Amino acid sequence: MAAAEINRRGGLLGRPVEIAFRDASDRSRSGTVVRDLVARAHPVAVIGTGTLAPAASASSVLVREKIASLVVGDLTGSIAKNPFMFRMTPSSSSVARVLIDWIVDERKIGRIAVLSTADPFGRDGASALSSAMASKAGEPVSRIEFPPGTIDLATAAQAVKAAGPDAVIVWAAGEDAARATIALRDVGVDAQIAGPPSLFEGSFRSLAGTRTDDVALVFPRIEPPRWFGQRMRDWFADYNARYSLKPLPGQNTLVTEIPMDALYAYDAVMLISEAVVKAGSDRSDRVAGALGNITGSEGVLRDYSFKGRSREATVEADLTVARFFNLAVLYDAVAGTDLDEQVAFYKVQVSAYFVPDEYLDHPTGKEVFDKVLEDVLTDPESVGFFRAYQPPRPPPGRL
Amino acid sequence: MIAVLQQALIAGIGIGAVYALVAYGISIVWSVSRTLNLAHGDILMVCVFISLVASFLRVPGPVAIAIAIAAGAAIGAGVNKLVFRPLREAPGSMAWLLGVVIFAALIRSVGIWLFESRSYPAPFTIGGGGRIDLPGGAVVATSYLWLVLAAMVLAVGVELLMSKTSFGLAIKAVAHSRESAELLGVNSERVMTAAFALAAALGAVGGILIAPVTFVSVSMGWMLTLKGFTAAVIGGLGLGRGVLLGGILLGLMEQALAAAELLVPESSRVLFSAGARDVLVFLVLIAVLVVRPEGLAVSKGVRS
Repeated sequence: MAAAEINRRGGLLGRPVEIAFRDASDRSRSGTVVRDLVARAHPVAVIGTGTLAPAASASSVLVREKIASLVVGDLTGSIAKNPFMFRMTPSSSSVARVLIDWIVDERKIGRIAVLSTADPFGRDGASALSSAMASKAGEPVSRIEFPPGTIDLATAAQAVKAAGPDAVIVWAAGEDAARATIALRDVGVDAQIAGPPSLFEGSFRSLAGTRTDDVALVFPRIEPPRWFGQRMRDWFADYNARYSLKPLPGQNTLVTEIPMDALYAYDAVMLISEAVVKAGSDRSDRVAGALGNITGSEGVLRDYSFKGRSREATVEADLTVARFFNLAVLYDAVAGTDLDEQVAFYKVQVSAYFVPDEYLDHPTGKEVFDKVLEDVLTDPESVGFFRAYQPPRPPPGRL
Repeated sequence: MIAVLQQALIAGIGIGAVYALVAYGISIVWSVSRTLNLAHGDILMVCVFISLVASFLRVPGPVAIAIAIAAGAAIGAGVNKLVFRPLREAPGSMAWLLGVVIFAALIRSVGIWLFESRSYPAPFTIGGGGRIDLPGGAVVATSYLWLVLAAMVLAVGVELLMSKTSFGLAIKAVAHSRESAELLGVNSERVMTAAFALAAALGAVGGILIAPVTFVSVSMGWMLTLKGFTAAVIGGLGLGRGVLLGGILLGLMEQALAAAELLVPESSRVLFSAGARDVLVFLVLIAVLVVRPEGLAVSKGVRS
């Protein structure tokens, strides 16, 4: 999408932009895949490599060739030692600090349990949480790891319950996070559940359903008006035309599954193109240098700066804590937010109002969409999946 | 601690019942054809997706489940006719193994093409999603009660089918000796096809029952094939009730080790970590194969 947009405007430095894709899902082969990519495609920059070994072998190839890599979606590890690595999404250490600050300072909770996956993602998160908790809340009352893909987590949830926490941090993604949340609620853990930005992945909500109510997550600070701005609407229209936007699968809802990785990837390409223009060259080392000097670049999702931030576009100040309610995401978990704005934000999400007219493919989609919108905004009781806005539940043990 | 142990016991029996349902299918196919249907779990996965698609199309739950089970039977019969039968007759005694592995990979590839690698929530929760709180603190999901009930009912049903019906006797005859059965007028191919259909239908039932726990995904099939095979070997690859025992034992073993990891001091948890648990389960499997290759529930000297 981004390449098409750039080429419509005449390309970069008079030449069309091409995106070369490689499948690096098998991390053990990532070094080989990236070497092949560099040899055949001679990229200006690479999007998507990770930070932890064995993906690190891919990074060393890029460092040797002086090619910038933009990390999207990988919280793990540190990029400090790699001068050619830039991260767009927050690091696990930033996420952990924001989460612990919110739990301890905002929610006034001291008894915290950690339930994480036994993989690099979970272990990196657990380690980041330990560091963040050391000065604020001491040791967790319970720290449990489970293998990714574990079918039944009721036993682990019972062990968490036995420790008597008032907050449980679920550092997992997708279906692992869903199973953990379902298990915790099913065995009767009445604690604040919270987690990293990976909880925003559609699969977590589509699998755990309304058990996600009041689950808190660290999220980039994106003001509601930006979600409804013309640029975002145009982007969604383009994305929908190409790939189709859909409601969260398996749930009776209109809340749309937002393709966050696609948004970040689009913005990543735009950042690289901006760096190429600033560098006046497609030499990868100069592009990397220009990337490092970017400040306040306006993307579709948010604004990005790498300069003076150790090449991390998202630092703690860019993060807030949001929560889920009726499968929508709201920013009302933090004191001082404008509640009227959040109520409106909620209604718009559950009615899919902000999504362009092309959203529903069915011939009568527009008619259905208008009817649902009208009902949701005027007579919510008539819409089966709609629940009136409710503020966040108080912390356990408090009125 | 009591709640954790109770929960592990409940989870072990519940999950074990599903392993048993899958293992039945593998055992029945093995008994009549002396081939291992390594695509069994993938056929089960197809049936669960059929029920999912039916639910998207607003088909009532019981009808969708019936369609999925019937589809499973049809697919099972088709697999025997189109994959196993030609390859059993092909030169090279292990051609069927290669064929079934390729068939399984094909099913998964098509599944990923249609449904991607993501998971979907189960379309139905048998038992209504309720739960029962036990005095010790553990919680029993009503779906688990249905799982165990289904496994036991089907175990009894399969046993009655095998011992009281002419179809069951025909299966036993073919399992004992295909040539002798043919001489006695049994159409062994027809019996095999029916056995494959029955096996796949049992698998479909297991898949639909476990889907609320595993979620619905293309990868669920292969995982259940491995577990079902392990359960069948532990209990005894055959037509007896050993399969149910094998499934329950496997489920209990897994959950006991998971509970042990949670209850021991943190410094000792490496002994019960996920990797160590897999090693222990496979060591038990090897021990069973060495000491009692006929399975734990089959009397020595009796061929399964």
